[in-house]
Parts: sequence; structure tokens; C-alpha cells
Amino acid sequence: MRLYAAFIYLFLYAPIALIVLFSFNAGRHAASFECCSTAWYPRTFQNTFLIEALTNSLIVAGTVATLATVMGTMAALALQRVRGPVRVAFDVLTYIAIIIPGIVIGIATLVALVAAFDALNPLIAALWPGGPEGAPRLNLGYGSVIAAHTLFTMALVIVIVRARIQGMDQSLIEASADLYATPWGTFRQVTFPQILPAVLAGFLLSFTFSFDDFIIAFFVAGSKTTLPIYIFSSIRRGITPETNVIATVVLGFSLTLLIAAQVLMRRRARGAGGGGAAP
Amino acid sequence: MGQTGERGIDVQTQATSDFDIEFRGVTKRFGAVTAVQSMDLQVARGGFFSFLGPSGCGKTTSLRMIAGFEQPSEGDVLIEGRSVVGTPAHRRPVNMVFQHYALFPHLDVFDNVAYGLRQRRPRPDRDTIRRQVGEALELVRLSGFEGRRSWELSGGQQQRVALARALVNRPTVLLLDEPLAALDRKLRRDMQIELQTLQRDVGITFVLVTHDQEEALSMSDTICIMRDGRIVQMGGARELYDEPANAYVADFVGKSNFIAGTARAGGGLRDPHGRGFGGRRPAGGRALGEGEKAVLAVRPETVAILPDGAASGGFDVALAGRIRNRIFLGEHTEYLVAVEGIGDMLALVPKLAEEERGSFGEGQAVTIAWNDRSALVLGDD
Repeated sequence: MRLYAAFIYLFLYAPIALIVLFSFNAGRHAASFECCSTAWYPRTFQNTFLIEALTNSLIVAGTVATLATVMGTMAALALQRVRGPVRVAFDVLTYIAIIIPGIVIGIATLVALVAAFDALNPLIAALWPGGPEGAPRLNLGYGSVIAAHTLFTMALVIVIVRARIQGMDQSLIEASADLYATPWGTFRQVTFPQILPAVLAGFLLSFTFSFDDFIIAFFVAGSKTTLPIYIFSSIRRGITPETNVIATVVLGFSLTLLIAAQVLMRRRARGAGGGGAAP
Repeated sequence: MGQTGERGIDVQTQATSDFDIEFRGVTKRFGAVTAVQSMDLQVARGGFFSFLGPSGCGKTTSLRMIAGFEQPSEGDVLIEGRSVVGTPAHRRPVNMVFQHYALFPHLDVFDNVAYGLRQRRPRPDRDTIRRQVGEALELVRLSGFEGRRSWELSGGQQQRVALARALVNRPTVLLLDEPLAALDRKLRRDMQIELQTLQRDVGITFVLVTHDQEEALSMSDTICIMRDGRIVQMGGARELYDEPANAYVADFVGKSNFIAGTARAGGGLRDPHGRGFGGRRPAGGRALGEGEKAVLAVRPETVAILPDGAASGGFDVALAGRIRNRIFLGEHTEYLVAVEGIGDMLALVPKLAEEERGSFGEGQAVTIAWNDRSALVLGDD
């Protein structure tokens, strides 16, 4: 049984370990390893196209995660008070947003945005005070990727935060009100600390999803290149150890983020507990 | 006129009523279900008041209407003589101890107890909060537990933190929702005594909700027995026990033997076999008409068991029976006696009586006896 488990972990993590190892390749091919050099690291970071793609991805993922977390948490809190058919309708819509394949979201968002832009751009041009020449044109770019990603990740946040709210003892809310806390005071001092782990989890998941999404971004990014799109196109040109370096850096970044979140949450718990005299 | 006090809670400048809590024709409906039905109630200042009844009788709904978690569908709820209908929970000068304590898991004991104080505007300074929390924890004998989290405490300790968290605010009324239900038997006894002592020490009105008659009887000055959203009887423990208004109360408060039948015009009861039994009406009860449905209630501790064929020993009623079952309970023995034409009757025989008259074995023929003054004729309502 233990051997079986070991094999599963080997299957899961060996490729990841391998890609880290291969990022220290001395040779010129991504898949054949010659020991050992860090030469590809500086070379990778001097690649301005890559750096731009990475920056784009970070901007998009950061915005998406923030928007999705704020709106998703608010939606989850509001839905908690809704009962009956309205609640069922929202539940169904939330789950649909999650189970719809990314490619459908991509195409649908693309078609909808292009149709909307085609309708709106002449209107803006006609109404623009400085004449049609100087009028701004709505176009695919940051905004469209962020909108499409937020649509999906907000549903994720709603589901995660709702589960936490439902698991929460409702009498805590009543106890807080009973102890003179205003509704806002109750949210700030009881509800939010209780759902904070779920909110953080929702943020991290949204960030990760947006950061590594290829399909949706491929459709709606327009002229912008995100990191997954860049890697995909560089593979078509032939893989170099540069790709391994990118993967390793992204991996390191994700792990750092996760560990930081863990440490932060643990310190919070300990800090709040150490307020009084120890018995 | 009320005004907004220093904690941002509506307080009275002057007490305008002798009652801390008053219900005037209060009805509460949840959809088609009526939880509380046109209830009138007055809770005197500084007493220990209990709502007693089975689950679903409306006692918890009544408490939640005082706390402000529910609003009455009809009627008026008054705290210190002023209507609080429409006033939200956080603006009412009452505090509650919840059934499962509802301690904030993300806060330690100190912060839990300080929670109410920190909501006051202007907020009291650190030293004031520290001193008052310290006093509250001392009151419930939990000094030194400030840094603990709720899951590091036993059930009894959590209970006491919940008490301190409520009492530190010096509420007009302390509400307790089945506060001892989650504790084991021994601890429950200790907490009953502790709660009663605490109530006398702090002088705050306590309003308790419970389904446990022993809990209500042992602690309360006034007990309000409820059934189906209505008050059945209200009074002190002794009054309810000795003068139950009807069979429901006699059955709910303590144990009773019941003999069904019809009332006799001259007092007493006639059973379906035509046998007459003497008995008195409870104090304050209306006279029953001839033939009205009634029950004779006899407390098991007033029933004596005599050896078969012995002289009736001066008892007014003596019936032949047979011991069906005996349960030894230490300080007394519970005998279940099959009596012809009546059914099983319960008799509580104290140790002393057993020493004098001897004990009885299962299957033994005996005489079961009681006095008319121990028997109550009760209406069936």
C-alpha cells in the first residue's frame, strides 16, 4: 500500500522535479540534459518579449483575483439571505459558470465583446466632443481578459465562501448582535474573520486560474500576450531550456505565495491567541 | 422618554415600570404556524424567571422576542416599561447565554468577554476593559483563563465564559436559553446552584428557558409553564407543585398518578366503575360541575403501601393491588403497583417507611392507600 502511494507521488512530482533540474541545462535543447549551468536564467530574463508577457499575466491575474474575491465574497454573503426560487436560480447560474468549458467561455466572450464593441464604437465616435478622429475605440485587451476570467473565478469564490458561511455557527452572528455590535461591526469582527480562510483560498485559486489560463486568454486577449500564450507560441518555434526556466520560476513563485499565505494565517491565529495572560 | 445612553443603547432615564419585561397580547406567527398565541406576561425586577415547557411550546420564541432576534406579529414587548418592538437586538439592554454558548472561536477568553465592552461608544480605555473583564472572570471563577481559546475549555468552563461575557455588560435582563442542556448531570447540579447564587449576587433579572422541570423548580422564583404557545400556569415552584391548575401541569411538574373520571357536584371524583374518590380542587381553581370530565391526581410520595390485609391505618382510600415492579433509587424505592380498575400506580416509599413497614417483593399482593387531602381533582384542559 505504501509502495503504491509512493508510485502515485512519483508519477505526480517526478516531471515537476525534472523540469526544475532541466532548467539548469548547459545544452541547447529542452529535453536533453547536459550538466550543469545556470546560463539560461539570465538569458531568459533578458528576453523582453517574455518579461512583457509575464508582466501582462501578473497584471491580469492580480486584477482578476482581486475583483473576483471582492465581488464573489459579497455575492456569497448576499445569497446567504436569499431563499426560495431566486436562490435556486442563482445557485444554478453559479454552477453553470464553473462547469462551462473554457473554450466555450472564450468563444462566447469573444463574440459578445466584438458584437458589443461594433455597436458601441460608432456611438462613442458620434458623441465624442472632439470629433470622431480623436474618439477612443473599445478593443480587446486587458479589459476583455480580465472580464472573462473574473466571470469564471467569481463563481469559484462564491462556492468556496458560501461553503464556509454555511459551516459557520449562525448563533455567533446573533451573539455579536446581542453584545451590542452593529451589523457592520458584526461583519468586521465576527463574520469576516470566520470566512477569511475561504476568502484567501478563493483569492489564491482565482489568481492561479487566471495566471495559467491559456484557452480563454487566447480568444479574448487581442494583441496582448500573456505568459501561457507566449509559452505556447515559443513551443511552436522549438523548445529551448528557456521554457524550463520559466516553468521553474513560475513554480517557485506559486510555492512562495502559498507558503506565505500559510505562515500569515498561522501567525494571525497565534497572535490573536496571545492577547491575555497564559494560564 | 428613553434616550440613547453612553453605550449607544437605549436606556431609561428613570424606571417607569416595576417590571423588567412585559408582554401585552403578544402573538408570533411563522408562516402558518403560530408559535406564541396572545401572551400576557410580567417579569418582576430582580427575580429569577423561567419559561418551562416541552419543545415547540413557544418558550424559546418568547425569549428571542425579548432578545430582539424575533419581532412579534402582534402585541407589544416592553423592557423596563418601554416598547422595544422594532428595536434591533444590538440596541436592547439585554444579554443572552446561548444554548451552545456561541463563544467566538477566533477570539480568546479575554477578547470574548471584552467583546460587549468594546462595542460601547465612546469605547472604554484599555485599563477599564481589563479591570471589568477581570472582575467578570473572577465572578465565574475563571481568573487565569484569559488566554485560552474556547476549544481548550471544558463544557462547564465554556458555560461560565458565556456567563461572564453577558454579565460584564451589566444588562437589565440576562437571558438564558437552555444553558445547562449540554452539561452532564453532576455538572448541571453544580451550575444550578452557581447560577442561583450568581443571580442573587449581581441582582440582575434572569430569564431562563428550559424543558427540564427540575432545573426550573430548583432555581426560579417564578415559573411560567407553556403549552402550544400559551401560558398554562405561572407561579412559584411550591405553588405549581402543590396547586397545579390542571392535569398538564400536574404531569409536567413532578410525577402524578391519574385516575380518570367525572367530577362530583359535592367535590371529589367518580371513576368509570362508579367508585367515588375524595379530593380537593387546587387553590384558585373554579368549581367543577357534576359530570364534567376530570382527573384525580395523587403524587406518588403521598401514596403508602401496606401489607395485604393489614388495617387501613387511618388512610381515607385503600385499594388492593399487586407489586409489578420495584426500582431501588437509594434514598427511596419506586414501586409500580397494578391496581384493579385503575391501572398502574406509582408509589415512592422513603427509606424510613421501608424500615418501619418492611419492603415488598415483585408479585406480592399489597394494599395501596392515600388520604383525600393529598388528592387533587383537576380539570382535563
